[in-house]
Amino acid sequence: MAAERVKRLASERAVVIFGMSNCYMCHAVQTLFTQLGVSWTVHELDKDPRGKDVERALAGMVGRSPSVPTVFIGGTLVGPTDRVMSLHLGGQLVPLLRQAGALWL
Amino acid sequence: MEEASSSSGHPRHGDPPPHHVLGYGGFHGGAMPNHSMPSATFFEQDGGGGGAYFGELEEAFMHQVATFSSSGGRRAAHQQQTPTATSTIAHHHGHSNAMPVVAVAAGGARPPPTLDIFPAWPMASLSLHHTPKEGSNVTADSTDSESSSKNNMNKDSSDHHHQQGLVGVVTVASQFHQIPEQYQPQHHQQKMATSSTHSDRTGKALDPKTTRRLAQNREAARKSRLRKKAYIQQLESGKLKLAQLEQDLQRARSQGLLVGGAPGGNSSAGAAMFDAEYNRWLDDDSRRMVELRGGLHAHLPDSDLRAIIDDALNHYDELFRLKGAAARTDVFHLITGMWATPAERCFLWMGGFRPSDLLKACTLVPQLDPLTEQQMVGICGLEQSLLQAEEALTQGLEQLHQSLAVTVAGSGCLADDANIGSFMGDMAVALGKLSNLEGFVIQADNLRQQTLHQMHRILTVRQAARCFLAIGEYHNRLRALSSLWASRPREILMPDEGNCGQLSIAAHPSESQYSAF
Repeated sequence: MAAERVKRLASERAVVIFGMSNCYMCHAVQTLFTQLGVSWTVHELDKDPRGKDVERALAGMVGRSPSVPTVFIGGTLVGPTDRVMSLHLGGQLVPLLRQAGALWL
Repeated sequence: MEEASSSSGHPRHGDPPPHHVLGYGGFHGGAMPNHSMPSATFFEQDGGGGGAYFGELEEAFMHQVATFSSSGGRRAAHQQQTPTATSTIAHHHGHSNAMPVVAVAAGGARPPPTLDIFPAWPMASLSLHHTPKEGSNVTADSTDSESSSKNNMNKDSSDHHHQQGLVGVVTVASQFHQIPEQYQPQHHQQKMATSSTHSDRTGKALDPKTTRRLAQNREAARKSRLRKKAYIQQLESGKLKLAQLEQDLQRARSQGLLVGGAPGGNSSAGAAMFDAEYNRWLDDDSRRMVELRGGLHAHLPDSDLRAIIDDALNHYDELFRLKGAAARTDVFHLITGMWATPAERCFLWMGGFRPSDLLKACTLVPQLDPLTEQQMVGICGLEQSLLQAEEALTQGLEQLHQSLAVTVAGSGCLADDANIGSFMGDMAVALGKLSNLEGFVIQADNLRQQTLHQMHRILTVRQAARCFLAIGEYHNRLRALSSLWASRPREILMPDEGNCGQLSIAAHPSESQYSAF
């Protein structure tokens, strides 16, 4: 149920970040996307009434805790921060963003 | 006490080899526990003499009786024997005055190995064989120097007795059967005389003042012995403690928990463990660098070089694993750089080196193996991504700092008393925020690790070998810089006009210091 909600939310925008208001790594990830010129959407789970369920579902998808921040690009799960960073260093993040339509430049 | 008075012929089985028996006329070790009649007799007489001998010191040994233990040790072996043998006499000769005998026993065992409180023991005892009457004189001789009055009185006779004692050592064996007989009555005499003052033996007229003075001297001597004993015990226990500490230190060092000269102090066990592991990693790394350099210069085939580089890369992965574990146990230790040398700490970024610094090695190094166009593009792309990632993390951490500052400041004014109540609440929130530090250090290490892997991917084997060497050497230089900086000469320096700001006085020491380089 919660997993479906996650999927739905993730598909709404090109770049979807699940985070929390008190998570500073989430802020770092957001800064990265901003630098890339990508517009993103963040869902702060601590502000969400059903946030706990989403968090649990995310933990199941990602396979570790903390489960935030978790990034979806083009509706597909990319993963936590280190995954995003590794992709970027490997030069694969930008193509992914272009593919999702988040980046036109 | 029981020990002293119980046995009649086998005083101490567990005692150290009684080679001190030699002092009593050449009885070798082993003779003691297995008493033959003659030797028993010998010691009896010796002890008898000793008993009379110590009759004068009964006061002084009272306290020793109270604290008697079998801790006499090696040195007191001969003294132990004598008192025990003395107690033997108590049995054999039926002496009523067993107290001084026992006191002797106790007293004899008490003196620790390190201090020979009664050095003149054997001599004095032996001399008594010849002149039992003069036992008191010898007694005075072997007490502490505090009992000066006794010494003064008996000075003349002491030398005589010492000589006799020496003679006694040589000839005592032949006197076995003679001396005990003539000894007994005299011993009786002395025992009776023990309780009274020894004035009649010294031949001096006794008046109350002298008596009091003698008593005071005895008391002073006793107190001094007590003090000495206490001091010795303190020293001994201190020595034991020191030995134990050294042992622990040795063990800890061997386990790698303590590293002498590790940069920074270790405040926690996790920090100490990481420091030890990190130092081990550094040693391993330098080994690999040497191997890599050798491989390059030997122009090994690429496959061999690749194997070495892959190994080096794995080694770096190991480092980041260690750092990750350390971040979970003691993040402050990592993020403040206490594990690194001062110069490295100066350029610290989020608990380690700045990943984009590594790329300098890529762009500056390859002179013999220049980068292709494609490689240049790759490296530039890597650099750009890296800078963005670093910036993202830096901003995230900065936001954490700001937020933490706000939390620590609290909701009201810190100067107001009313806000003490919110202290615990603020602290709890701050603790929660601090836990985010872990994540940042781990993400930063991930950037470092990914940079290395990307470099390995983009570069050729030889280029990668040179880059890795350059990186290793760069960090070596930083570490060397720290040591050199710490040991630089710090004299008062006068600017030299002619040298455009160069410091003339320091120049010479610096030159000699760096000439080795």
